[in-house]
Amino acid sequence: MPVSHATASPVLDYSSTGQPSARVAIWWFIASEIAIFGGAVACYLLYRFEHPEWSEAASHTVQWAGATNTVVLLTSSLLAVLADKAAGAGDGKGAARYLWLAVLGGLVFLGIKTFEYSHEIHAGFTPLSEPHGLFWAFYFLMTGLHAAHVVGGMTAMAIIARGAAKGKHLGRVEVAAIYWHFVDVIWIFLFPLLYLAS
Amino acid sequence: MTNKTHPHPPYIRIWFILLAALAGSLVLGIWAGSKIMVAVIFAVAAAKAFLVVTYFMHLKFAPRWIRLIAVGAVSVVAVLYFGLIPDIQLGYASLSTDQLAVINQASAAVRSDAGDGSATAAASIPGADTYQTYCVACHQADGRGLNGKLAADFIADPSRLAKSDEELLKSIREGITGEIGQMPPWGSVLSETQQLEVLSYVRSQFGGK
Repeated sequence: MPVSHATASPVLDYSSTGQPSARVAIWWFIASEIAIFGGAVACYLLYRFEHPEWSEAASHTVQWAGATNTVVLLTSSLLAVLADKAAGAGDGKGAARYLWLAVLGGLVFLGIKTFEYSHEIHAGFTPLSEPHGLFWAFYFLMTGLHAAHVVGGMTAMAIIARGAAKGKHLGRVEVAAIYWHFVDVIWIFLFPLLYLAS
Repeated sequence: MTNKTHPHPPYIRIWFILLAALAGSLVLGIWAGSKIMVAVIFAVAAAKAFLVVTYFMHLKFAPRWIRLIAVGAVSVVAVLYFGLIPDIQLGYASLSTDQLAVINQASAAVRSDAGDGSATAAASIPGADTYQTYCVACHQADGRGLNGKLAADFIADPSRLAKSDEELLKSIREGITGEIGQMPPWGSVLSETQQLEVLSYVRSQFGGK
């Protein structure tokens, strides 16, 4: 049962903690995501220190594409937080506009990622390639898992943008935005881990 | 309205700082061969993540117990990483139980012989300390290994040290699987100088070169 709260949202249930349930839920969800990505990153690091020669493999990643995608995600994250701000001010149409732009950022990211994947696979860099197949296995696992999260974030933002445009469920904008920033944070670490540390 | 009692941080200014930090990382990436630069690049990444988490994800304005959810998850990952270092980075997971038992026994024997004059006499030669600390448990003070059960016998089999420096340094660095056992990799434990010194020590004590 929602508790009364001075600034309680008409569209979000409040848990007994005084925080919207959805906000609490998204943070628990992110905690589970940290365990997933963190497990992959921790294993990658353990092996990376064992294999200094992987720097040769890392030098075959398309660094400009990774850097451009970092700019794209940071910008998309900015758009999501501006959507959050607009929703907080009750501006559903503005929130929806920013959310759609953030989704567009996700599309650009996936486009560039697709180019990278096809470039790498054509050049013969796959988990089956010798001698650094394990590096490429980590590369495709971590970036592929991340790309799946980009798709998930875009889907959530698109659904919420449709409601927000009609002024519905504005409280949900914040939750989608928090998740989208998390996807951004993961990329902030993946980029130096896989592309830069050569 | 959501539960927004906090002020909105200057989002666009933070975005500019994030882009500037990215540009900085790219410039530093040119020198990524150096360990210090790699550390700086990851420090910059951590700072960027901190800005996004603090201001975009509003963690700065969230109650402490919500921050603990995130910190707790990161701690679990840290435990995983540091807990696995002995198994993966130090290679202990690839040793059999028998091999570990032999190593433990031998280490205990070495510790009880610590007062033995032979070890201290050699200690002034570069590489002797490293050999006494890391190698002696298996290869033994006399370089003969453990009766053919584990570790190369440098004395009985001269072909062991007849290999090139490059080949032996690679074995020290990356470990090697031989007929009687497996030497774990020492590349993440010993510095390059220590590896060179211990090789020259082994050659001077047990080899003909």
